[in-house]
Amino acid sequence: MDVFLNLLLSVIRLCTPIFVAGLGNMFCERVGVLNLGAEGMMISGAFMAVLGSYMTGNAWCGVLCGILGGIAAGGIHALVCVEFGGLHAISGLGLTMFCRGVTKFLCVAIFGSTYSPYVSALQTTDILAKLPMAGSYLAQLSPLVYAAILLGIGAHYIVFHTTYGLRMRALGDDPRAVETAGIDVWKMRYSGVLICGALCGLAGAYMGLGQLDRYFDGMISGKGMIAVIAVKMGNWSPLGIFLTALLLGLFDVIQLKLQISKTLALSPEMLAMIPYLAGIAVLCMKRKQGSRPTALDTVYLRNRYKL
Amino acid sequence: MEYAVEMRHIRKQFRTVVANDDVSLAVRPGTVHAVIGENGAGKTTLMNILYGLYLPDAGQILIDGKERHLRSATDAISCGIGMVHQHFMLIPRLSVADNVVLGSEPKKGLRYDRQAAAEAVARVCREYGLSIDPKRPVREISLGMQQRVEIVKMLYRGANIIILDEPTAVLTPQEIDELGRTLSQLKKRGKTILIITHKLEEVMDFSDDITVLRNGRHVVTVPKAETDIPSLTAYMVGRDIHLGGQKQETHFQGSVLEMQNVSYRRDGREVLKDISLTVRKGEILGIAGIDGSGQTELTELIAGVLPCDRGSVLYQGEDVTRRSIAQRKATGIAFIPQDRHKHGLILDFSVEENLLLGMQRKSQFIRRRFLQDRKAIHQMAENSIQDFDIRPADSANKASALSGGNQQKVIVAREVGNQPTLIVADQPTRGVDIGAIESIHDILVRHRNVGGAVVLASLELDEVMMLSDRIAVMYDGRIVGILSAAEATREKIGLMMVGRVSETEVPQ
Repeated sequence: MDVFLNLLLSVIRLCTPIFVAGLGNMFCERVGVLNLGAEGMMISGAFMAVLGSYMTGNAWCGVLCGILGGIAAGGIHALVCVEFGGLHAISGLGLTMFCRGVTKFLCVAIFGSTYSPYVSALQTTDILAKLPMAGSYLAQLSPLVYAAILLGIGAHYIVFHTTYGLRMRALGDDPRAVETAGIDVWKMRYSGVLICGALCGLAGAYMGLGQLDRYFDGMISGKGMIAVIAVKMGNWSPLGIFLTALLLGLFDVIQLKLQISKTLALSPEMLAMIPYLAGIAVLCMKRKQGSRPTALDTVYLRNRYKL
Repeated sequence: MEYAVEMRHIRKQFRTVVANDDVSLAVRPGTVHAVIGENGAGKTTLMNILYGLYLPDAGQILIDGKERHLRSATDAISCGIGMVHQHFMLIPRLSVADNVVLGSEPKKGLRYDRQAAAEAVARVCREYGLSIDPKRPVREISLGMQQRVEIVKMLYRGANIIILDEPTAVLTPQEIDELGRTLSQLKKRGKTILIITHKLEEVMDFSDDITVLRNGRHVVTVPKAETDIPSLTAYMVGRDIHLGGQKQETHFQGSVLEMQNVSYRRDGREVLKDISLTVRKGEILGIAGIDGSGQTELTELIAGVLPCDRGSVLYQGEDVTRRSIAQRKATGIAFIPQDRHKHGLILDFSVEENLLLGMQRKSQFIRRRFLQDRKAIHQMAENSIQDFDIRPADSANKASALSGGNQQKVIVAREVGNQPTLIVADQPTRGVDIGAIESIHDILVRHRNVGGAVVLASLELDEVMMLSDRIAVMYDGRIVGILSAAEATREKIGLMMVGRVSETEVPQ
């Protein structure tokens, strides 16, 4: 029982960043912007969160800084893709490389190494410890995990039950139809990309302050890319993304356990490939497009830039 | 008198192209006003300006006598202007009600009130006598109904001035009649309607006043009662036009093409079901049907673009079912595809290169076994440009710089220049101006007169009826029946197009 619950806790810990970043990407893709910059937004979020916590000594201020860091990175992507009609894939990949470089530079410049010192973090939720039965387990999770669950429910409500969600779903399918309905396509697209930046920033902050209590170069290690895949596998719905994130988190736990137990005589780098291979395998099996926004990855320019 | 819409001295330039030059338009309230002209005459640009999608470079717009600056669709909507675009602005995945209210949704707090939306849509439908189920997803309803959804969308927003851009292009004859009734309903309730079209029969049926544009300029505005189709054509083109070519007596001898029980599946759905037909020498076989009934797949299958899943295709007695496009082309099957931009031309290539496409391996264009014979190619291109009157007459021009009609002439020149036996044409005159239609009709009929065979798929019923010797009507991937030109009437074909075969009909 204890083994099982501990395993479950590990899965939840590892799936949370994928889930939160996946939610962000869902907003971005639902307004028609592909975001391969999720990785960069998460790197920016993680670094800014740790830096914020380091400067203020308050982990919650750190989380706020992380979210702002993600929004800043999202702002670059929005400017390139929404305002100036750049190619989404190129902008996203460029953003990731840019964030990787800038954070490494700042990390060395501020902390004098590619590792930050330990900072105050949010690894446990102590107030839940007093609850009967599961309290001792629930307290072992970061408060950000609970925030993620609330965000998931909120996202579901927004997408399927509000006018903003209706407009967003319409925009992902046909920006021209939305513009002629008298809706500001660009404001909507900006909002989607910036929400994505905020959520990716939060996911990064969770990795820096919820899973660990420091920042080091390369710590995001592809989680942002996994989140992009999770959106497709989760069929652009919060619930689907949650289930996908759980699955991918499980694979992550399995590979970590295998690394520690050394039952398989494989190098840790080979084992680390397991969650990614699982992601690719599932993508190959999933042929149907499902709720894929049909106008995903399309450039839609304002009148003044046309011809 | 106060006009509902008045546009004064509108000018709009796109880079070097002047789309509207000093165009003025005045529409009386409560009337149907038609704006007609050839492709590229500037009709759609003018309407997009009125709907706020383009800003004019010069000129004034007055709505109900007050000057307005329309900077976006939102501005236009708030002035009571609604536009139904040629390509419907509907989201297939969403329901009818969602589509209608998009942009001005009923709310309960933060929540989108679906129930209220459905009720509001039902109310508008009742008021104007339109039948639509608000809860069905748009992807499941017919094109005619989608158009009604678009009109309801405008009415829901309280539009008093409704612009319809080419509203009949995708409709069956019955749906066109229905549209006519809807328009007169709207007129009765005091709505002002602007309708863009190039189909003159409809202009005469629907409208009160008619404005003609040519080359971005205003030619004339006349009340319908004072004009007729021939003089409107003359205004549009600037000269007399004769469509339909000069048909001569031919003897239908021997079959050129025979299809036996051909089926084709896509995504697990049969888009062609058990097709059998014969095309004889010296005849034009027309293929009629509403958009998406399988006509495009049928023509692509004959040309070899798509493979058969079942059945066989015989060409001049030989089984060509498994032959490639190139092999079919070499034995005399010419193909004019529906989408000239995607499948007919390489837009970034020059006219000369486009005229060569598919024939680059022919011995007369090759020297020393693997080099292009530039001189011969250039000569061929110059000849084609001359023979088919492609304008501007410059073989080095990029295909993308040509007008739609001239692009189509490049394709026709290439395919016909190859001396084919069978021409397979899928909507060869779609989106082409009337001058080019005249010459394309002429080419197809001349090919038939000298004993060639033509398969002509078209959504324009008039075109099919004017040119064909026999007409095959398709519905839902099936040939519902084949009529001879003598027994074909609009009504008969119209019913067959929606799958209703009358009892008198004997399918071949």
